[in-house]
Amino acid sequence: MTNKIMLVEDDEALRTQLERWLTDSGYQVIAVGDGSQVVDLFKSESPNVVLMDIQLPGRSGIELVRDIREFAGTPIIMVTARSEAEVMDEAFEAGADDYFEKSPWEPEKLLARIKNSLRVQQRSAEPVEADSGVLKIGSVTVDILGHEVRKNGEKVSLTPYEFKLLTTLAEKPKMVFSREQLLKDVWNHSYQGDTRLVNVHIQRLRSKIEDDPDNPTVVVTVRGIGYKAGLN
Amino acid sequence: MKKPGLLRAIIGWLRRYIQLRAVVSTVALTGVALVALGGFLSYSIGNGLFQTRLTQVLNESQRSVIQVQNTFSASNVSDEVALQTLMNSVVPSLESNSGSQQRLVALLRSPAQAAGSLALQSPMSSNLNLNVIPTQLRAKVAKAGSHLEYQSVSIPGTDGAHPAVVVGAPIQIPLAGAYELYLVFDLQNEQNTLLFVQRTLVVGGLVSLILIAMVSYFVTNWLVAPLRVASDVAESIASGDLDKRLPAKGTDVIANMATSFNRMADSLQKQITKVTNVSTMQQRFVSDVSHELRTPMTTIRISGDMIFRNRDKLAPSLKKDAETLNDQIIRFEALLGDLLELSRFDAGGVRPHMEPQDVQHVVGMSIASVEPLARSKGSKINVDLPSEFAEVELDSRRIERLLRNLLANAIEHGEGKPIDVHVGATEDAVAITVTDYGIGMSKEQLDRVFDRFWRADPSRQRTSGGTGLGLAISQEDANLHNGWLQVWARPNQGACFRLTLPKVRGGAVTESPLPMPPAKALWDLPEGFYHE
Amino acid sequence: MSKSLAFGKTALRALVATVTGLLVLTGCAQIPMTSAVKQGPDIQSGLSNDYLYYSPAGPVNGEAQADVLAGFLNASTGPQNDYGVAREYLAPDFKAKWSPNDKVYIQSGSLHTAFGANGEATVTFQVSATVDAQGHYNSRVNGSTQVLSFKLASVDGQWRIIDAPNAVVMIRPVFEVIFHSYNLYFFDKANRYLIPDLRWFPARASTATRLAAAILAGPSKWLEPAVSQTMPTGTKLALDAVTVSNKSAVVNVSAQAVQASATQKQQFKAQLQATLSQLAGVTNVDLQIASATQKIPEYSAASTTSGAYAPVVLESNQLQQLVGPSGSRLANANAWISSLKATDFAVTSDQTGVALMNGAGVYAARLDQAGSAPVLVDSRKNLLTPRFDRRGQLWILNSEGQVQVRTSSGKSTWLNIGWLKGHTVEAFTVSPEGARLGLIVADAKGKLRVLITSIIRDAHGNVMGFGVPVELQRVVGTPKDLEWSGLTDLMVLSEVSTDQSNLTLLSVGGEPIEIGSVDHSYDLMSSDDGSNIYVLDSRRRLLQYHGYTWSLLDQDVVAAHMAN
Repeated sequence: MTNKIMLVEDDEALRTQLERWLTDSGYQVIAVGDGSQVVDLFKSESPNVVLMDIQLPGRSGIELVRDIREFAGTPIIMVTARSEAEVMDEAFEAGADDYFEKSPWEPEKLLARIKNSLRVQQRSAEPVEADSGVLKIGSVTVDILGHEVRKNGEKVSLTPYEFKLLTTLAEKPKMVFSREQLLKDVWNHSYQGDTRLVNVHIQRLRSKIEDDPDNPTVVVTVRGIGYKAGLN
Repeated sequence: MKKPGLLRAIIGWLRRYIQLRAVVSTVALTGVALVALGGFLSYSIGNGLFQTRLTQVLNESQRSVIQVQNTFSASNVSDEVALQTLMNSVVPSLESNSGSQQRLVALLRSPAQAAGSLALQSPMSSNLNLNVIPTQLRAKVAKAGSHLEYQSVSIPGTDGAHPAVVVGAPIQIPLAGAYELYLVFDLQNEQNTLLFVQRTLVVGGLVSLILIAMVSYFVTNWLVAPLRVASDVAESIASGDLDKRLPAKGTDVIANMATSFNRMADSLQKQITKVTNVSTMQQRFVSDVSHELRTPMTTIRISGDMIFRNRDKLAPSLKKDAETLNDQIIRFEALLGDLLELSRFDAGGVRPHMEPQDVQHVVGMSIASVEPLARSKGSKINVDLPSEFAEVELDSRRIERLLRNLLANAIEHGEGKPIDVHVGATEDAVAITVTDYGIGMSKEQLDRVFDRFWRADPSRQRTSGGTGLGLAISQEDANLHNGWLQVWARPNQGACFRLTLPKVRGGAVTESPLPMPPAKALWDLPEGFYHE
Repeated sequence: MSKSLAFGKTALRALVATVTGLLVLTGCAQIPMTSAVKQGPDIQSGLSNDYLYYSPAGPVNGEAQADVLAGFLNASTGPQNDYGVAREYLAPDFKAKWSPNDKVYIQSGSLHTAFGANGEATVTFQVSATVDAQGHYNSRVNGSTQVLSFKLASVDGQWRIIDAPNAVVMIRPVFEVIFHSYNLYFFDKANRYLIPDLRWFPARASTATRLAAAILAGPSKWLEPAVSQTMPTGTKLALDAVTVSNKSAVVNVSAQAVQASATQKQQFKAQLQATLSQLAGVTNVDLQIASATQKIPEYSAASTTSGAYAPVVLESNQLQQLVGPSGSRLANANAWISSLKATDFAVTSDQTGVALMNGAGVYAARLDQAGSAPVLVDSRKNLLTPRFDRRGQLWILNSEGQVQVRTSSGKSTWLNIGWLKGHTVEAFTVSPEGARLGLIVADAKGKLRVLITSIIRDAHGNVMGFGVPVELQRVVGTPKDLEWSGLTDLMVLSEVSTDQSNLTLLSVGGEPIEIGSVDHSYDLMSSDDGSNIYVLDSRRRLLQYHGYTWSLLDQDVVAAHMAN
């Protein structure tokens, strides 16, 4: 089955060339130039991954991310120019899962991001070994098999990347993960990663599963190093 | 010239605080004036007291001596007993023991007189110690004719020595012959009065000094207050609050200063606003250019990539063109990226993303990223990390890029020789040196090493695909962190780059934790050129 | 180091130095505790130096015994500094033992010195009078010889006197220069009048001391019965020096004086005041008892002066005040004079009482009471001219020395002067204070003497008797009348020839002084102070003495007397 990628890019030439390049790389591409069509098309096409340009005429990429996150956890990779680093935090807070810088053009990196996004979803959808079972961190139970997280018995809806982040920490509860480590394990970034991605995702995760996000007990900060799963 | 630490500290304070200086110098000068005045008063009062009492003492003595001599002249004694009685009567009639005003009396046989037949005793006050009558005075009195002789002495009192005056005069006693009458006047009362006056002067002087200190403090405060306000306002303006102004009331010097200051602030504000506007526009421009250039650039890259990917499908004559096209597009893109980065620095639009990081981790990440390149060049990277954890507030993306740049540079010019990386830390700063033992640089090259588009060896420009802007950007990144980026080099022996960063954001670097070139370097001689 | 800081350092250093200097200066501002010897005011000007009449020289080294003795005797003329010069001739051991104030010999003629063995020497000379330690002057009969013994020894190679009598010897002219007469005053028994007692003392700084000591030693023997004792027996000077300061003489007496009553202390102080005020510069007396100053109120003795300076005369059957305001009261007596044919009279000083005498005797009457009539109070034979004393008592003596004293209230006392037995009284006079009686007495052989005695009275002034008589010096001629002149002298009128009489002043202690001569006179009058002298001569003329001549005041005078 061919993976479906939704490409949101306003520049026609780039959109066309990217569409061609992605198609050439083996993906089915749904290219959109107008932000206002994105939600409708997303609903009708149900893409596996979304590549979202930040600067769009009509609605901004961040708004579109927020719209999509209302109903779907589908991985969204923001396509940015380096000069837009300042707005990235906003995009991540809105629900974006990863980013990719247009320039300099690193095709392998883009392919790796797309693959990882697909893998994050696919893995959770695949049957998992029985011993993975159910993990418990404080008041939170993670059913890896059922791809389900409950806080105090109540189901919590997590995006695939959030789920992957939580299970990565929960599977090795004694280990302290550095931000780079998490970037590598969860996002499969090789190096030079932007650790803000991790920071914002941890905050998003905490806001969903912690009783008090300001005094986290499930995902604990280890100062100067990184994060770890909170002990019972 | 060594000065005690306290004195130095006091002089330091005096220099620093004009108000303190004014108060201290006012108090000091007034103090000198008061001490002078007090000294003069004390001296003249003391002298006046003494002279008044002396006159009184001499008059009393004159009367007493005449009375005693007249008594003896009028005497009609028949025997020793009567004479002794008469002589004895002299002492109580003249002496007085009322406290500190005591007057002691002695009627002494003149030593000049040969011992007569009369066994007469020399009567004197019971509490008079004859030692207080100086021999000098006795000698003078023995020779004296018609005048009193006197001398200032000290006599023992219950509360220490008292000042006193001894007055002496010769007395002729019928039958007994030449005698000397001594009157010892205690002047402790005058001394006490003087002490009281001095004490009053000291207390008054101190109170005056305190009052003067307070007055001068208030006066200078009143004068300095506008300066302080001006200082605060200037500080506010310096920290960006350009709307702050001084209150300018009245027509005095202070008001004039305030008016001038405000005019200056107005002018500055205008200039700064203008510059800020320019800067903002430039940033906007750079941002726009960045975005507007990148999209087509990326499009071209993708197109080039597509062509390159499918070059085998092209005619063989075009294949080479496709390869060239792709290479140049990649180079162009890198160049564009670096140019835009520098433009952003120039426009002042760079905001570092500072967060605490373990510097070893940062170094490790940087080295990891250049490992492939090093391997390809056959250079081994030796790392010397301090054992302890050194947390530094930095923008890890920029510092990693900087280190990567230095490492890439070292690998490129290292001629396959090992690369040494040292990390050192002090309480305030960390330093990272990257040393290679390659071609090195001459003095001239060193002077230009951070120049834009400058290359040490133009013939080798292509090997790493560097844009010639890496070190310039690195320098900007170091500056962004308040850090130093310095270089040392020797031709054909290698080069050493040292990055020194303050541990906390906004901190200043005064000294680098690591020497340059590093002590463990392989060079036999630490001669070389430095450029900072 | 910047230049400004260097300058600051210099300034700072200067400042510190200045302050330190000033503080040191201030600290030094204290009453001095040491100095050189300095000269004070003069002390000579205030000294009461001895009066220097003679400055005898002290001994010279190597003098012979005779020279030493002569020098010593000669130094008697220098009482200053308690005969300081004379003492230089004495051996050290003897210096203080010699007491020159004990006796003064007034020599007449020259000294005869004789040396014996072992440094013994005798000095022989004629003595005209002596003065004892208390200042009593005693005349010696002419030709009295005195021998004084001295002993000399060699002291440190020089002849010195090791023994000498406690006396000094001087000739009369020297005596008269060195010695002055002073009155010691004592109260009479009634403590009303001060009685003078003449003494002789050297005029020295110590005179006050000697006067005070003499008062404490008591009056002359003959005067003693008339005198009241104010200080307890044994009272002496506590301090043998009476000093004068601020015109006040400080007399410090021994503690016995405390026993005296307050009035006695007042009287004693009055005595001292009267006595010491004879000295120049003394007007007041501070009496101290055992050195404690006494607060003693003034005590006033009654005045003894009558104020009369001209006699009242009896002429042509009338009494009149010759000079001065004519007393109307005297005229009250005129009728009685005519009727009684009075030949003599006496008038009290206040002219309230009068005594008239005729052949029948003495009549007494009052001039101040209308209807008063003369009463015959004494009808004895040989009555002398009656006299009133200052108390108003009428003295009537007959020539046998029997006395009637009649008070103003009419009470009569009859007394007999025992030692007058066998003598005839020629004239008498009562001293102004009424304590001394002067008499001209003839013995059985007709030899006339001038005597003086004390009148003993009780506390109320009543005459009780008389003391022992003292004979005064002889006068030239036959004493005819006598009168008190001044405080202590008696003026004597003596008949030298049939047409000349002499006036002579006599005193107890002292040589007679001839005043002058006058035509033959038989009655003498003198004012209290002796400054106005009158005589009534044989031709019944009243003459007044003017020092160099006599002037005629009145003629045909029956009798004239001072109203005292």
